[in-house]
Amino acid sequence: MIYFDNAATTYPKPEAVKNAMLYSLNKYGSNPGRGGHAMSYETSGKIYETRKIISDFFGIEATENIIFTKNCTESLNIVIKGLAKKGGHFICSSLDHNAVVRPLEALKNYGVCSYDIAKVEEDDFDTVRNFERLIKPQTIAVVCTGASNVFGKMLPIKKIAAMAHSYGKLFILDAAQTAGAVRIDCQNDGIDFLCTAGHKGLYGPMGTGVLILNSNERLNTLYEGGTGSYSAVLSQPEKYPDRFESGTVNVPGIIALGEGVRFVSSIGIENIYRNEQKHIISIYEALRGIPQIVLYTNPVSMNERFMPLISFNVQGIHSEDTASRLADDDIAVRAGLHCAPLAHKTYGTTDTGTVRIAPSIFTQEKDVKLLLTSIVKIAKAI
Amino acid sequence: MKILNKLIIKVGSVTFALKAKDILQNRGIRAQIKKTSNPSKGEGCGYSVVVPDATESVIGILRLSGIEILETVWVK
Repeated sequence: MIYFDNAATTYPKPEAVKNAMLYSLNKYGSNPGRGGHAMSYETSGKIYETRKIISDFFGIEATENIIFTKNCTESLNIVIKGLAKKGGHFICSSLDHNAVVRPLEALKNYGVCSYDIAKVEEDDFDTVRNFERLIKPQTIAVVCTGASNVFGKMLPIKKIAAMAHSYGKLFILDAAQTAGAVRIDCQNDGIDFLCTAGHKGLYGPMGTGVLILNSNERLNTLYEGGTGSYSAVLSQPEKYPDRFESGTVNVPGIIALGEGVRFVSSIGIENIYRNEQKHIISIYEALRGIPQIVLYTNPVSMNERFMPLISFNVQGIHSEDTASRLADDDIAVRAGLHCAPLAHKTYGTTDTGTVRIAPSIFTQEKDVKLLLTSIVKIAKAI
Repeated sequence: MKILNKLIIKVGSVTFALKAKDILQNRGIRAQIKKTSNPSKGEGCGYSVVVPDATESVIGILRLSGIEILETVWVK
């Protein structure tokens, strides 16, 4: 199989990640933070080591502020609903994934909070201005993606965060698409809460996510339970990470995620981006010369910044049909709405969806050639 | 500074115990974590850091590093 669905989940995983999963199942088979025996201590030590790897990676000093979740969606729900209060207001972007929009919509439907959507423009200055216009006294936070998961368009997160802070508002980043491909420093970028997936650009296993708390703002808990600490007290502990890590955590997944982040660091974020973007530019240059192909972005634009992914359609064919025909050639892409209806509305592709191509560090030029050959075949058949 | 034997520092969660151990080891102070053997009735289970050859400065180092110390016990 030729895999171009890396914006959903990177595949294959580095050998170190796969080995860590298996090794952890054998070596770290006990609950961390619960027992008083050797294997529990060793397991706790490995989980703590991963917190350190991740805190270093995202520029955070307090290792206890690294919270392990099952995915980015869970991280976003913990923050958004943890901050929500009656009459509050949030602002998201017109490129956000349902992981951001659905929690906001749920709060709206429960009658708890309202939200507005800021349109992302070609020009970053206009985008920031659109966010600023929506700030209200009751605004709790601005929450947005670092980049569209469909079109790759990157948002000026540092400027949006600075704008939010200038009004005394919090900034929450959905880094599901950008973590591992773009350097993110919570302190330097002004990120109060960072939510990300482990299974995408961090090359960890599925079922892993991270929430980073870089604010003193108190969050209500989404769920409560056993933490192995302060057990005689019936209320949920205030201390991090226990406050948000009730129940047994995904030990093999977390340890393997740590290896994924080590892998990314060892290659270098900029090198990964450059390598993937090289493939995207090759694909773009080839597709733009085919009359039947519709493209929506220009990855070589001097005015906009894009993640290394590209969406397209073949005229007259629904995106799902194009993806299905590519699958017949054993090529994996993602089609449809990509759980991001707002982004498709923004780019006018709600009716057809798009076909998304997303390489990884493991993508080779021969993969690109086979992909292009298959697309040309589909385009010429119509 | 005077050597005062073993120090048991109760910190609550395993994460803070590991962080405390890490901080001390980075300063060349040997430490290990241990399940708190006699937790207070009001709090229940938790973890402690055990420093076999401690001085009073250990407590200061941890407090300055943001470690909340619930209780300290010197064992002579």
